[in-house]
Amino acid sequence: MKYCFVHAADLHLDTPFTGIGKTSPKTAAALRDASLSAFDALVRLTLERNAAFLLLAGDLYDGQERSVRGQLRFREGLQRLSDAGIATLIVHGNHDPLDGWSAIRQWPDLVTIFGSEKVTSKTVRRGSRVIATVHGISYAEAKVTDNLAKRFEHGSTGLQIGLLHCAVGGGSEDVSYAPCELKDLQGVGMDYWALGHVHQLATLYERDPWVVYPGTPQGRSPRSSELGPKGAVVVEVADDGVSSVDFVALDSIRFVNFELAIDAIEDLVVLRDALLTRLEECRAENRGRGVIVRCRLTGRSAVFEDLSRPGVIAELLKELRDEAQTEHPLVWWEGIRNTTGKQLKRESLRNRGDFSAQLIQFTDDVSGDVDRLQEFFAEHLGLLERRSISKWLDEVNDEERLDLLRAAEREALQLLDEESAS
Amino acid sequence: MKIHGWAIDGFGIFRDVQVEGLGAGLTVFLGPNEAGKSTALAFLRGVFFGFPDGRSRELRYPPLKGGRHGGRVFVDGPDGVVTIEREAGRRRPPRVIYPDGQEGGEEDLRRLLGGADGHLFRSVFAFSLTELQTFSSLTAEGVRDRIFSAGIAGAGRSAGAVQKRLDDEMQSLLKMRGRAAELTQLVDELEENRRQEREAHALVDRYGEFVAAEARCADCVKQLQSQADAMRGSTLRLQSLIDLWPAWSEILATRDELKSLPAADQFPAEGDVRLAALVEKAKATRAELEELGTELSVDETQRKEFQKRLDPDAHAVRDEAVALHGELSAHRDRRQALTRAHQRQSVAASTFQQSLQELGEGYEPTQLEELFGKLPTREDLRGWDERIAEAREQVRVANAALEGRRSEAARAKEELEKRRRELPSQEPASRERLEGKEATVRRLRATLAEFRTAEHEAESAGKILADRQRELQELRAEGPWRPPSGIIALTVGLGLLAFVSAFLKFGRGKIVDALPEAILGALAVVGLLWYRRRVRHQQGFAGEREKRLEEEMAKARDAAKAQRAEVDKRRSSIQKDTAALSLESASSLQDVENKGLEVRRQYDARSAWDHQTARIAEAKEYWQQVNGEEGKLAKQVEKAQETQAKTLAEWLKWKREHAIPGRLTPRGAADFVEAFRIARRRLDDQRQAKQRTDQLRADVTRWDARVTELLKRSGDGYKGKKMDVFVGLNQLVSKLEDDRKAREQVRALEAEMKRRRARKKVAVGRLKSAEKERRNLFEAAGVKTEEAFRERGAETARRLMLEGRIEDRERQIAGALGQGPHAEGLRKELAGGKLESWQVELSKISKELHELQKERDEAIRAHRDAESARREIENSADVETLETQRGGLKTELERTATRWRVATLARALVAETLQEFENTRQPRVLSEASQILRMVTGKRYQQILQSKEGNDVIVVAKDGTRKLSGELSRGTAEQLYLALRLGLIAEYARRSVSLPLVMDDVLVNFDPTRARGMAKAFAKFAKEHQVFLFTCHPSTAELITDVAPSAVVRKVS
Repeated sequence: MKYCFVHAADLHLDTPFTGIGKTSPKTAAALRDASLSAFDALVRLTLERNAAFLLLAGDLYDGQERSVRGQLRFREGLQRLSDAGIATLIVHGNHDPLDGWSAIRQWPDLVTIFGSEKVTSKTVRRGSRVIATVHGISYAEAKVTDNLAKRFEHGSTGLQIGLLHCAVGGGSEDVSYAPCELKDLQGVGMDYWALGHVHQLATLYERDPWVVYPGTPQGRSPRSSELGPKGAVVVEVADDGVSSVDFVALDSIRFVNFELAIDAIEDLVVLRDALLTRLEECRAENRGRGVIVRCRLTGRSAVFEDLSRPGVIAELLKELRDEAQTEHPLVWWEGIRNTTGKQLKRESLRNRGDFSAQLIQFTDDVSGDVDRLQEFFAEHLGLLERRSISKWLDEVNDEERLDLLRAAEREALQLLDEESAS
Repeated sequence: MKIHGWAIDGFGIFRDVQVEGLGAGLTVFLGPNEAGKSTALAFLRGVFFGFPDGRSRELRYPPLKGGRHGGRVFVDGPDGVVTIEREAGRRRPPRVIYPDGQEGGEEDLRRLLGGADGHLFRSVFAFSLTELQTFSSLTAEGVRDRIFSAGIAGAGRSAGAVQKRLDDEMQSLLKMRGRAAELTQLVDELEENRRQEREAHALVDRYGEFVAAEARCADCVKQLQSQADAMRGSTLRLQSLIDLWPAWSEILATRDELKSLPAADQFPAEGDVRLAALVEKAKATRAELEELGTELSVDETQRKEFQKRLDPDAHAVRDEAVALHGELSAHRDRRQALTRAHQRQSVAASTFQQSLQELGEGYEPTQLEELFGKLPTREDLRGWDERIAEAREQVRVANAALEGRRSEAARAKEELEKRRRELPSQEPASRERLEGKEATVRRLRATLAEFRTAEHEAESAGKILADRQRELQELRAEGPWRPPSGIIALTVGLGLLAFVSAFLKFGRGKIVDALPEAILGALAVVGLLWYRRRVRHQQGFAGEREKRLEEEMAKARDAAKAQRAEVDKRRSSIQKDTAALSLESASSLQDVENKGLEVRRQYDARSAWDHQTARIAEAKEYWQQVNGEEGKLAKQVEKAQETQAKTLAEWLKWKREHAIPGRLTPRGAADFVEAFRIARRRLDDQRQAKQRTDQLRADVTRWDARVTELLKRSGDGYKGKKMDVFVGLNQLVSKLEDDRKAREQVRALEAEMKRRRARKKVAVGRLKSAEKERRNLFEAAGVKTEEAFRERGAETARRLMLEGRIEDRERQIAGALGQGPHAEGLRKELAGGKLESWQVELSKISKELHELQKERDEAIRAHRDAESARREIENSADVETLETQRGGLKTELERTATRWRVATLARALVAETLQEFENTRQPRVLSEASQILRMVTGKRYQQILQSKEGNDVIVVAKDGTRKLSGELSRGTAEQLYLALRLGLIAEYARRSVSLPLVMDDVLVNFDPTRARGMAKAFAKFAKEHQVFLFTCHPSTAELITDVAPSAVVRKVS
């Protein structure tokens, strides 16, 4: 017998994007609704493919304070599936453990939510025949340090599926997310492990069993794990065995990072045109989807002088944003990072014996002594504390202090070089 | 960078001045006041950094002698001479032209100058005495930074500028106080976001509460609604009974009244209305008949009045009179035209007579027509005029040419005589001889310089030889150190004695006792051996040194000999050349220079002599040429006069043939022909005027006769009377108009009377019909009078009204109660008539219902609020929007904070480094300046320090006293400032490029000793830097050449 099911995870419904600065109201609204749009697309996909069931492997919401709007939208989607005779099987993860608040009193008929006390099993039928048995367990609370994979036992009828939110081989950073190893999953007798937690599509193992992270349906930050197409997987089953696992993109907005070399660019007008050309390429690659673009300028040319002037990058960014206001789907220029200009070589500068060399020496002296480094920061950056701004900022550790000091050194050397050249 | 030379196109007093071949070391430009030394300094500044424009307070040095305002400076580049060109007065960039022909601009020039700007150059590198005298020019912003601080920061730019840029960025991100900065504004936005988010979350937390309240309120509303519906039914019933009770009561009362009224069938339908209409109709008809009678009477009276005004006689000639009246205006014009024709005829006759008189006597009207055909054309006369004028012009031109040539010959002769007088009486020496003398002067000048150099070098060689001799003598006199001879003998003796004693003790077996003597003996031997070795070593060293000194002496001797030979050779050459120039053999360089100037003057005189002689030969040749041309011109004059006489004779003959008086010129003849034509035309005019007058007079007479005849026929008033035809005709026309109006009035009145008589007939018929109808009505009602008829009508109307009222009320009750058992019950209850009881009950139920409705409305409102709140939460994206917004703000804040941190740390790094750098590097400048000041002041001032404030310097005297720059005398202060500049230039050269030092008379306030010291400092400085010193004092130039023989002195004239 042939059928398919859909496997998704980490919906993080109605949760904010991160790592993006202030945006326009239109962009903010699009970002706000992006996760819900992706869920709607997931429901549509399940209906269109006439899937036998839908698996959701945890982190449906982003936190304890779940949005009512998100919950109701979620229930509506599941209701549509249930009305179409499609079952939905859900486990909760670290972001949405079972002890979280819920605005939903009653779930649609064909929705199954696995408990957290023990692994339970649910059979899925098509007609009178059992086509699959899904085994799952939810997180009772945000932190689960037990290896939940070891609690699973396979059944005897139909395809055997393990539904779990966990960190496979995650190392010390993932100890709170039901850590386990691949071998723990291999020895249980499952045909397919429907996992959640990792936001990038990953097939850890193919066949006997399949171990699959579908990733999140909607990327929410410019971090590398959130870049590129996001969606769910459609699993084709034939004769109680998985025959294929296909990824289907569901996201409505994508993060795109690119570099642009300015070596052949002579002025800002040409630069703007080049950026727009690259934007069009990005949009063509991600047809039908909004894009959030971050660009890094590299190389050196006459336009470097213009870019070095205060406010020029900001103006260019504003112009690009203004121009993209009317674009559909959404276009948002998240930022332009200027790394053009001279690549000042620190070692050669150090040997020049001039002011720059002495500045490098001073920086080395400060960075080589942790106490002096902390003292230097306290002496010069105390204004943040005095103006009550630091409470809003993440605390800076010594490693970050060193990064900041190096950045300051680069800035000073660059300015000194510009002043000497002008 | 070294300046190779310059070319001034136009600048101040300079025009087309070129200076070339400037050396790398020290060059003195010597010239008197106003020779242009300051101008040259300004020119160099201008070419390098731009000429001052109109806004500048600096002198602009416009080109007083013309030429393009600007010029070029030639500097040594790595591949040859680079030309820097700049033009003043325009905002054009400088041109930098490289040896290969390629060109550059401002940036290239900036690179050549090592990034120096005009301010720095003026303050440190090229300055006048006035600029030297102030320290402020050294401490000004930009100069100090360039030299002490940012100048050290790599390629000569300001670390201060970097700090300022960073300060600006930091200020834009975060300020010490106030909220107008990016970070504080972001924090404000975050605070506001947090507040809104808290509110939004608080609302979401109440979701369950709102859902429960909504359900509770819905139940409550339902229950209250049910109670209200029951009460509203009772209320409706009671209200219906109460509302219908007046109608029921009215039915009962009306029925009682009907019983007392008669039946309604004996009175005609709407009898009273019909009677009233008939009465009104009869009344109106009578009034109309009365009015028509009055109007007919008035019309008749008026008709008779108008008939009296009619005039049958005038009416008979009406059409003819109107036609003539229409021609009245044309006839009036014709009369005026006749008057004007008379006048024109008179004027034409007078004008014609005048033309005849102008032609002269003897001309009659008949002759005019005969002679008219012989008259010439205007073109013929113009042709004669041109021929005669051309002949005259040829005569005039020939005469003028002859006179001009005679005048030119006189002027050429005068010029020749003048040049002969200007030629000097004595011819100068020949050019070849003078060129030989000039060559001798040049050779002698060079030989004298070489002689002095050779003499100096011979003297140096002699000094070296003497030094070496003295050293050799000292070496020989010193010799190796030798102790007194007794000590050596005593040592040998003591040693032998010790050995013998030891040997003896050893022989006796006293080995231990023999040890001191053995050691003593051994020490004596060792001492002797050491002495022998030292003596040999000293002898060897002294020998080598002596040998080297002797070799050096031999070399010095040879050198001195060679220099002496060279001196003798130069002396011999000098003697030969001085003799050739008639100079003393011991002449100085100045004598030679003077001789050279004398030879140059003689050479110039010879050149002038040759030039003058050539000009005399040219003048003579010209005079001869002019004399030869005079004869030819005289013949041309005679020929022109003959041609003129022939032309005049032909003209006379032609006039006779064409009836033109012989005295007239061609132009006079043209006037005569024109007058003849005019007279002929005026004769024609006179004849035409007479014909016109005759015609008009006949027309006027004919029309007057027609009018007179008509007036006679028109009535008694005009018969036999003589009167103006215009007045008579106008009166007749006016009378005709009155007659016409009267006839129209009569016709109108007759038509109106006819219409009124017809209306009167119709009204009489209508009155009779109304009377008949009234009688019929009375008969139908069975009455005979109008009063009785009206009384019967009122009773009938009352009955019908009461019956209608009962029907109306019955219908009202049936409509309110409806049909069916319930309606029947209510009808019975209504018939029961318990009005008061119903009212009491209704009042009670209404109060209860009102309270119940209030309670229900409240429940509905609460339900709606709860539902609205629930829906709002369900549909609200506030939390998500605010979270999205918070995420954006947080990221923005982190980024902005990072930018601020980086900028702040970068500024701190630059500031710390700068402080350290100034501490370690600045003394280097001051140290060099201290050495120079020490040398210049003869060690009176030992050291220069920077003041604590950093904006002044302190000098430390030999005795330790300290003075600020302002406390020094003017001369010493200038020495301090010069020393500082030399130190700064040296530091700049180490950090960037070596730029020339250009000074304008900066030594004038120095005493001779310090001036010499400073000159030495310049000489030393010039070994590594190019130095130009402008001065108007020959003593300064001599001082410089004295302490620095390699310095070059250039005279500026």
